[in-house]
Amino acid sequence: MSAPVMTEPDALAPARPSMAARVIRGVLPYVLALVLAFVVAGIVIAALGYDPIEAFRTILTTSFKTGFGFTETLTKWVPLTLLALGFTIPLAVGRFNIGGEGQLLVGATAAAGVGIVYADLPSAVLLPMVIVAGVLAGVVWAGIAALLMGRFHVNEILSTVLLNFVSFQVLDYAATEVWSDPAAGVAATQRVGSGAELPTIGGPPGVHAGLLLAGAVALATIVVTRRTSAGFELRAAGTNPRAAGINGIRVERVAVIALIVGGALGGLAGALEVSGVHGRALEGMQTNFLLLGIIIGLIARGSAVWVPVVAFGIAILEVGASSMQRTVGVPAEMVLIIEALILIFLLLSDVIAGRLARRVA
Amino acid sequence: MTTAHTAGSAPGSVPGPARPLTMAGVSKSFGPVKALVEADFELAAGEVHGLVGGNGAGKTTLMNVLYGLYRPDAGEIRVDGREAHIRSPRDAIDHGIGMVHQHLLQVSTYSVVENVVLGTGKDAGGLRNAARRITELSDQFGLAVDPRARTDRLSVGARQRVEILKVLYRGARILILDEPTSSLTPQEVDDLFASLRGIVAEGTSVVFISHKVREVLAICDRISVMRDGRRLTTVHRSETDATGLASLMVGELAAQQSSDVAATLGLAAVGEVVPEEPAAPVSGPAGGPARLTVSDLVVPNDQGVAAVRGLDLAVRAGEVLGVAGVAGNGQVELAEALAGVRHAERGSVRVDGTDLAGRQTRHWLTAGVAYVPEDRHRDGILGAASVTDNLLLGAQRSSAYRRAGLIDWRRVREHARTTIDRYSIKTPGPDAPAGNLSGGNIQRLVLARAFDREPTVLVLQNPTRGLDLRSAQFVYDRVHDARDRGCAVVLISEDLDELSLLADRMVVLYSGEVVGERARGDYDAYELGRLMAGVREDA
Repeated sequence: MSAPVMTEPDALAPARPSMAARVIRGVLPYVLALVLAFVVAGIVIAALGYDPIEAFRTILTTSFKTGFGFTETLTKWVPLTLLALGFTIPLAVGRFNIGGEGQLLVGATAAAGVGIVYADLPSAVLLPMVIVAGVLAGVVWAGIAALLMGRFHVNEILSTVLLNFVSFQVLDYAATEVWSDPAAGVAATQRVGSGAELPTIGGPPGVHAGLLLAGAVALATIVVTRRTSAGFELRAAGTNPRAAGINGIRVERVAVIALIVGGALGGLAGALEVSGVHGRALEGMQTNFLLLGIIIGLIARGSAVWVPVVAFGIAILEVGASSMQRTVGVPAEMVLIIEALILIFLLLSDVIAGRLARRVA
Repeated sequence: MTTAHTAGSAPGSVPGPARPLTMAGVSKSFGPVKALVEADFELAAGEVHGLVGGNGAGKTTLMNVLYGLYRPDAGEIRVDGREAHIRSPRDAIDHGIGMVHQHLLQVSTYSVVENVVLGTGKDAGGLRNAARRITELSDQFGLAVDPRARTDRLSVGARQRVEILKVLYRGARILILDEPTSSLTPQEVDDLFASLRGIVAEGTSVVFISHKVREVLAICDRISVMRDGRRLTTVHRSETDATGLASLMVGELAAQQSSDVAATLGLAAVGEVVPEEPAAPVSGPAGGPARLTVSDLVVPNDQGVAAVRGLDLAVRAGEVLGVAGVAGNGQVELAEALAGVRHAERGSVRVDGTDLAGRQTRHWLTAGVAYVPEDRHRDGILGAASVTDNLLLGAQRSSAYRRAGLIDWRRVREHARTTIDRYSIKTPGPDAPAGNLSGGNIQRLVLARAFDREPTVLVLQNPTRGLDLRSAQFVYDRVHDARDRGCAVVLISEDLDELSLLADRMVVLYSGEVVGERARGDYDAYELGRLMAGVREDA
């Protein structure tokens, strides 16, 4: 995959690295990155005058100490996983979907719209409609960028980022002009009909059933990328577009489809946020899911297997963050710094581990 | 000028004035691969010294060490008797060593004189003097080139002369040429040799790296044979002949067993048809139906300019059509158009009567067109993916590897293992990344994949470039297989020896057009050379 792994094309490279070299290359960067990120963050927290040990303890344990914390973690996991996959699937063909939040917002807007207009329909009808509407809106949103990319070679990074700004206006229009709820206090739509809300599993407090859907999507992504010809073509086109093309794969088309699939996942995330969490679409509901999705995708090195795992780790940090702010007083943004540090140190230690591995080999 | 007297294999022990160059105990490893194992080398003043050996024998590595491109793990280099520490090409140039690489590295929009002074630190004011000096040098050594010409307008031969002039301009006493004849016409080879004789007569020494025995024997005073990272021996030209030298190079693979290898080495002069089991024309090329018909084909290059201009070809089943020509005359575009990878602007390509022009590449694959691209690493394989993945590539939708809508990896792996065996692909395992294989093994992989598709048309471009003899022989055997199966084979190559060995018929491509056609055995090298240089036949 085209995750930023530093490997030099060396014709005379060892045919197969030794076991030790493989362990060093595979595991060491992660351990190093985690340790270094927490060390640096600890120094910063201490410099701010707080107790770093206490802060870390809160971050890492909140998710497991209370039922509420764990529920919250799983709830966060849903959009994080979906947006991370929405980023890594196009990344597998070397395309960057930086439009996750736009896709999420238009998905949420469409889902909320359907949920409000058809509020009286029974759940068995309305809920699927709401989710499909969200997915379709994400498809259309990413489809614009995909069309521009496939037809006119417009850089997809630019178009997806710019469409994010458009999506803010779309949501704003829906929340203030079309279905506005003046009582909400923020720019938000009215609540969707009760038939549009996802049931809760487990609990109380319980997690919305979108968790199962997101889990199914994550599983399907693994199966598709590893076991289907479409997934094989996706990987082939990403590994070497020229050779893939020569062997009959339509690389440009694969890229367009991958970007649209990414958009569909963003739209799905938006719909699930509406019908599982907020019951409406509201401004700011995207929080920093886009950024976190990218960080997750990169830390997982684009692997469909690792994205859900990394997303869970990041969800723990995110949930711990607000708890840390409450109990220790460290600003919650500290966690974002830790997440970014993990990624930076991971990229750095890739280089170092690569050199080490070559020496060991 | 010291005459290269003794041959022998003890180069360090030669008495007399200090040698311009001695290398001793040079070792260099790339990971576990030992490219050089205590290699030694010694050069006399004013000689052309041939450096021969198969691929991976270490000859280019040894010279790259000398030129400062690789840092050796161990070993000593002495220039004019004094120890030299060469850490970069700049150090090498300071020691009077210059190298002309196989792939010419020039700034294409610069003039000849600008390219020559580039890196010498001369400012523009010195250009006129530089131009005068270049003219002097080119007159003296017969390296005809206009100093003011833009480099990208020059032929490959002329650009190579520019590189040699660049080395001479810097006052080099040791000139290294890495496979200098690979893209030259026979006339240009003759001219190059004449220039080299003039250059060594002035006391400069030349290292001539080559695969081709015939050329080595024509120009070199002494010849060092390398094998497995060592210098095996050094012989004087008078002490050996083509067969002797070939068997030194090939080693255990007995040269006489393999006429194809002999031919590639250039043992048989082009034109004297190689005595390859009295060319039994399988299924008679004359009798087979035309499998591949190309008419009025116009193919644009990457810049949108027509690189193939109105080409007509017809290849029968069981026939090998050779396409000769100097690189850059539309070969790449032709190959890609015939493989369905590049869209033609005009014209038709019919396979068994069906016009495929303008259709998606996968339709060409289904129609039985197999393509062995020139640049194996770039176009042939998914370097980071496993050998198994690479063998599946293109067949991922085939029902043979599907079960319940999913790829049946067990079957794919099984197939990969048998293929690896059958094609003797040397790999640590089916899961090893294909990009780590050697060139010869990558080519085996590409061929295995091509033959999996039971091709009716096989298009190959420079299929043995950069391969060792054994792998080259393997490619030749596969081409023969394809021909025997009734495949229409198009072999686009710059290697005349290869073409004369394999092709039943040959066309010469010049500037995107066919400028001549010859039947097997009905030509000599110079005639082809004239055609390749663009001298049209009286039409």
